[in-house]
Amino acid sequence: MEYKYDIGGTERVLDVEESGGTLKVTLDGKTYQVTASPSGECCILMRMNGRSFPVRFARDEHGLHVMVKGISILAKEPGEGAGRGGDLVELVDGKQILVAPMPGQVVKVNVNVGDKVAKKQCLVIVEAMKMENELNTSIDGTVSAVHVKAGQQVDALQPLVEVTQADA
Amino acid sequence: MFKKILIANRGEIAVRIIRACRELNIPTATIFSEADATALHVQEADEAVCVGPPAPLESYLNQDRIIQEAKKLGCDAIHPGYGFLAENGGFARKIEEAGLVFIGPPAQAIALMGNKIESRIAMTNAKVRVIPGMKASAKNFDDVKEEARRIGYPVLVKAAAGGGGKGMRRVDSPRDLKNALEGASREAGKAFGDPTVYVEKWIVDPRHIEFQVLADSHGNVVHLFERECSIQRRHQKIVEETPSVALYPELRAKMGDTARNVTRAAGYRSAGTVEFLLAPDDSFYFLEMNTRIQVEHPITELVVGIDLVQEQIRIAAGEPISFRQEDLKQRGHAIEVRIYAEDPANNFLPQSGPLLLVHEPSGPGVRVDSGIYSGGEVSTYYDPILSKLIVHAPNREAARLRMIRALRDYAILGIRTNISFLIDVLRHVAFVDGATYTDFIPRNLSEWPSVPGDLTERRDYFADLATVAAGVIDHMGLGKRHGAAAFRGDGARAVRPDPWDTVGSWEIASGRQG
Repeated sequence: MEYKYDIGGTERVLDVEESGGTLKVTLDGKTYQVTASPSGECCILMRMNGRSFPVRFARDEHGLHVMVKGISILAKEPGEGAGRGGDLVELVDGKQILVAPMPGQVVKVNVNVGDKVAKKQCLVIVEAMKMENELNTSIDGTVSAVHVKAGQQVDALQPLVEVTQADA
Repeated sequence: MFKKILIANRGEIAVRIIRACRELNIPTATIFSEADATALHVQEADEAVCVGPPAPLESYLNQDRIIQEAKKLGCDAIHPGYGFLAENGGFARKIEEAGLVFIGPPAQAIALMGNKIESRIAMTNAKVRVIPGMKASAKNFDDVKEEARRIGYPVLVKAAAGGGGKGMRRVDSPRDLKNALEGASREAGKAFGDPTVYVEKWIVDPRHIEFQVLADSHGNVVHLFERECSIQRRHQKIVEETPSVALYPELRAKMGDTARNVTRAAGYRSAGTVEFLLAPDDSFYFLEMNTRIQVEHPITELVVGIDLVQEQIRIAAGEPISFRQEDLKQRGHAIEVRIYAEDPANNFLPQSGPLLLVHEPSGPGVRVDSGIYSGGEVSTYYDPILSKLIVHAPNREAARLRMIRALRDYAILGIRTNISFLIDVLRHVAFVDGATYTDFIPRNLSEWPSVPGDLTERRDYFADLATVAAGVIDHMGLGKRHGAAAFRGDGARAVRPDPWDTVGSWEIASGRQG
């Protein structure tokens, strides 16, 4: 059976087959032989090649949160938009929309529409939790929209600035 | 001893203090804001009282209300924890005027050390070396520019009322000075209500070494050795350890003596911390004194075997320190990491939201000072610290491995945390080598999660396993019945998915299938 997830903006496709009490899971051409059993609340014990991995998980409206050995992922249904726990600077169709990470106040907007910007450049400063948070773009491109101005209160996930990728 | 103590704080430190009081047989009361009605410190205290709306100014910083509630509840002392009102001399004075005891230093000592400019002057007078720079506030831009030129770039713009990394900017060239002064001043004004900033020399390749001190009202002053807190992001510590790899017995003794001198010169009483910058040539400069119990106090407790919060309470009650300097010895090595709700891949942006699942590590030499629980919520109103993980082992390498083990067993699901980032800090070859300078993160992990091969490989491997696990969990149909609605609909008690509800007769491990 095929399972598709959006993990950190990357689509990952899994194939899971049951055979004789074990699960054969194929990911990126690699096959994992897994036995698994529920072990208490929000936990399964996954065994692979004789090694045991306790897996903790929880589900919310954003998807399935899974943690193995200190590394956690959020497995979303493909096609779901940015959400809490999702990427705040997701790139969609060559356009990046910077959103407010949390409710706060815009302290400064460093760019205007038409400005050329470079990867890692700080576009907006939002104050929240008593700290000034610098919001950077992760692409080279041109500012295509500015939705806020200094002093404005913003809600979590409210779009602030849009950047169109240079070669898009 | 006190009849009842009010804890004027929240989160892990409030819980920590409540536990210390309980072990001293002192009843506790705590305050909470409307956002914290079911918070862990409210659950742990004997009594709790709501002091106002979520915004700190209207609740945790509402001095008159807090003192009024303390009196109503029959408390005779107030412990401020760290942050909020801990270093507010005016609050300490008001408490004394109300006939209660402030569990902390005298108001004058707080005021002196709370102003970085005044404390620099006082320590210079006491023959303690301070970092070269201004001994007056930055008023006229041309004067500041001249002073910065005189001491030489890079310089550091600092808030006079500062602390916790707020209102601080490194400046590498004169053309960035104006922006930095403005930004720091704006941040300082908001964080401390005082926009005063000044400029001092940026020490290259320093280590941040601090000494824990205790002083009582009988004239006894002791130091409890150092803590190295060099690993910082946004000027806030995230990893602390003791002993420091950079100290040796003579240097340690010299710095310890200086720390005691600073404490005496400040007219100090209670637990405090004297911070130094240690330069690569072993010269050290007084940075500031923190007039509170600090976030990283547990590593000292584990290595010297003393409960600092209990000691602080006894001192406030007028008792002498229960040991002498020569009784103290450092045993083994301790490391603390701070678990934050933040996104290390995105400028360490604070995160907020519901905590779907919290599983904390345990085992020999592992301590968790935590303020969270499954079903709780991380609010946007307060500092995003979730808990502290502290380990103790016979030596540094054993402690490092123990910390990695414990971090790998720490599950917090629902919001992003810095756990995987901390694992990479502890696994980084520079940390193994003890090359822990204050620029550790910009120097070694600025591109995180893109980092040296084996760190990324290991992380990707476990991320792949987590992806495989996601497929397995979905294939087994686990947790399906409890979707978003279950979490949303029941706020504080947040139902957790119970695999046994949904697993049915499906049990792959044993090979049986129903």
